[in-house]
Formats: sequence, structure tokens, C-alpha cells
Amino acid sequence: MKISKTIANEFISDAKKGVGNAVVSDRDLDWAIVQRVQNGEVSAFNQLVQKYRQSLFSIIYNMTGNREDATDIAQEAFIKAFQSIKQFRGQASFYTWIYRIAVNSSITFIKRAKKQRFINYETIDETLVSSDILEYFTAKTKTEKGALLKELQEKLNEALQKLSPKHRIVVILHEVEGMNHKEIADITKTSEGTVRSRLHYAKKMLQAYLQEYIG
Amino acid sequence: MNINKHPNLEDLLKVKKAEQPDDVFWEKFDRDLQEKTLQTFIEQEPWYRNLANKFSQFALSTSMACALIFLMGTALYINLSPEPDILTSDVNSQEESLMIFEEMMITEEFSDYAVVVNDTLEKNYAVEVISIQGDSETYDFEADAISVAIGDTVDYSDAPVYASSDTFRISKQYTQLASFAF
Repeated sequence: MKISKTIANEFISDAKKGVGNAVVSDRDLDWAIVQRVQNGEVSAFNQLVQKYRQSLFSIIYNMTGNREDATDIAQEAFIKAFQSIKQFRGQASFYTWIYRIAVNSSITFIKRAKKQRFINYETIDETLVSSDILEYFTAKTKTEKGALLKELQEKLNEALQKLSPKHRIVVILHEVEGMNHKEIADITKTSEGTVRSRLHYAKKMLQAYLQEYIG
Repeated sequence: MNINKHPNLEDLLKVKKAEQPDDVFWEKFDRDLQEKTLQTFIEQEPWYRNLANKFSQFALSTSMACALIFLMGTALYINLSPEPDILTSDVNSQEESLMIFEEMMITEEFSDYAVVVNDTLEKNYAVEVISIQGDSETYDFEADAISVAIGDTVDYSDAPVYASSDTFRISKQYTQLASFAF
């Protein structure tokens, strides 16, 4: 399927406006942008970067537990995608493709880094944390909110780092990024059954590690 | 979630979503990514240029190899060609040369012919000796050569007179000629 730049732009424009019967999925939108890049409109790739950089960084950061490493790996993933974009034929969705690159890059990095690098945590946006959780723990521990979040962050990251990369990625994609089993199976190139199995095992391990915080 | 209820694992993991970089981080992220992408642009040459580079390298190395082979072949051809060495001589020593030359001088053949060919020198040398017999007798000396008392040598002198330039002629004497060459 080859869509010209003009048609693709009109298609996206109509979809955004809700004109006609155009029902456009994220996958179609991404594919249209990818084709623009393939046709030489290099700057269009920035739209894909802006769209996926946050979740991509989040996945890699939770995998590596290090902000600087996550930054480098995320940038490399985008560059790899950009360099290989001519080979992208739209058989899978772009986000599955770019996430797969990011996940593989992260796992390769973790395997190569024999010695665990120092943990460099990201700052927590308190507004995004459920107020119920914060109130529960502050009431229970009589600890200041900021300190409590810091402690909780450390414990969560430690627990995640104890998991193997293949179990860690399933938990991150499902519980943090909110992906379903099918999407995770596509990204990790495994079956949905394997994803469920790994997720079950990983959660069991995490519950054991975080016993003191879970009722 | 009820605050009186214990949070479960899923509730805890939601805290991870709150770990997000600020806008300053993303500005730097975008800037660095752009620089890295540009670097890949610079490093990544188009396929036809790579092909041209590879071809030119191949052509250069091939032409250099051909030139080398040609030079070596030429050098071998020159060395193996049957051209005689003009500097070598069959005459082994200077004494031998002189002996041969003296023998040549006293032979009749030598005196009668302008060019004398010796067998020993045949391969490499051609010795040319200019005869003084033929033409020297017909020189027109004009004022420089005066004939005196032709036929009556006894009236003027009893000593034989030789032509001063005729050093090779030993056997024949001039008895009537006085020659002055200026």
C-alpha cells in the first residue's frame, strides 16, 4: 500500500476534523507519517518522536533503573528506527516496531552491563500519584509525603531490578504502560500464553518483595 | 481506592507512572537526538557513492597492479634479450693487442687496403687505418713542395730521404724528394 504525501495529509486532516466517515486509528496515522518520511520528508519523523518519546523513555528507564542510560538507549532506538524506516512496510504498527527496538536495546544493554550501574531515579510528579495511596501511607507511617514517595520509589525500583529482564518487561508493559497481552506478545515476539505466564510469575515475585507495603 | 483498604501491587506500580522527566529534560533530549540524527546523516553516504568509492578503489588497485606487472615484464624482457654487450672484447690483454697490431702493420694486405679486418677483432671492432701510399704521392704541394734533382740523387746527396709522414712505409725509400710541409 503506497499512499502519496498529499493523500496521506488529507486523510490525516479529515480524520482529525472528523470529516466524513474517516475513522483513523493510531496505526494508520503513524503509517501515513512513516510514508512521508520514506518519501523524503525527514522532518515528519519528529512527529513520531514527539508522540512516543515519553512512553519509550519510561519503558527503558524502568528496565534499566538509570536515567542517563535510558536517555541514550531511547535516542538510539529512535535513530535505529529512522535509519531502518525504509525497510518498514507497515505490516506491524509503528508503535509495536519502535517499542520492539527499544525493548531489545534495553535487554541487550542489561545483558552487556555485567556490573549494575548506580541507580539514578527520575523525579516523581506527585500530582500523578493516586492521592488515596499517599493518604494511606502517610496515615500509616506518619511520614511526610515527599519522603514517603521517595521511599516507595526506591522500593519499587529495587523490586523491579530483582526480576529477570524478560519478566521485568512484561510487568512494565502491562502494569505501567497499560498494554494488553496481545500487544505485549507482539512487541516481545512471544505468545499471549507466555506473556500471561510471565506476568503471573513476575507479580508473584514483586508481591513477595513488597510485602510490607501490600496488605 | 478506599484509604482504609490496603493497596495492592497494581496500585503501587501506578507510582511508577508518576516518574516522569520535566520539560527541561525533554528539550535536551530532543536537541541531542537531533544532533545524533544529523551525525548519522553525515556518516551515512548514499549507496551509489559507496559503490563508486568501492569501484574507484578497485580500479586504482587494479591499475597499480597492472602497471607493476608491466614494469616487471619490461625489465625482464630487456634483461633476457640476446643483444651483445658492446663493452666486452675478445682481446684479453693490451700486449696481445699490440702484437696483433704490429703483425698487421707488416703485412702486404695492410699496406694495400684502406681497411684491415683482423679475425680476432672481428666481432667487436673494426680498425680503420688510412693508407698513406696512394694519394700522398699525387699531392700538389705547389709552393710548399719543391722537386729537386729528380733522377740524380748522386749529385746532391747520398742519404736517402723519407717522407716525414710516411712512418709506416719501411720497405720503400724515397731518394729524390724533399718535402716541406708547413
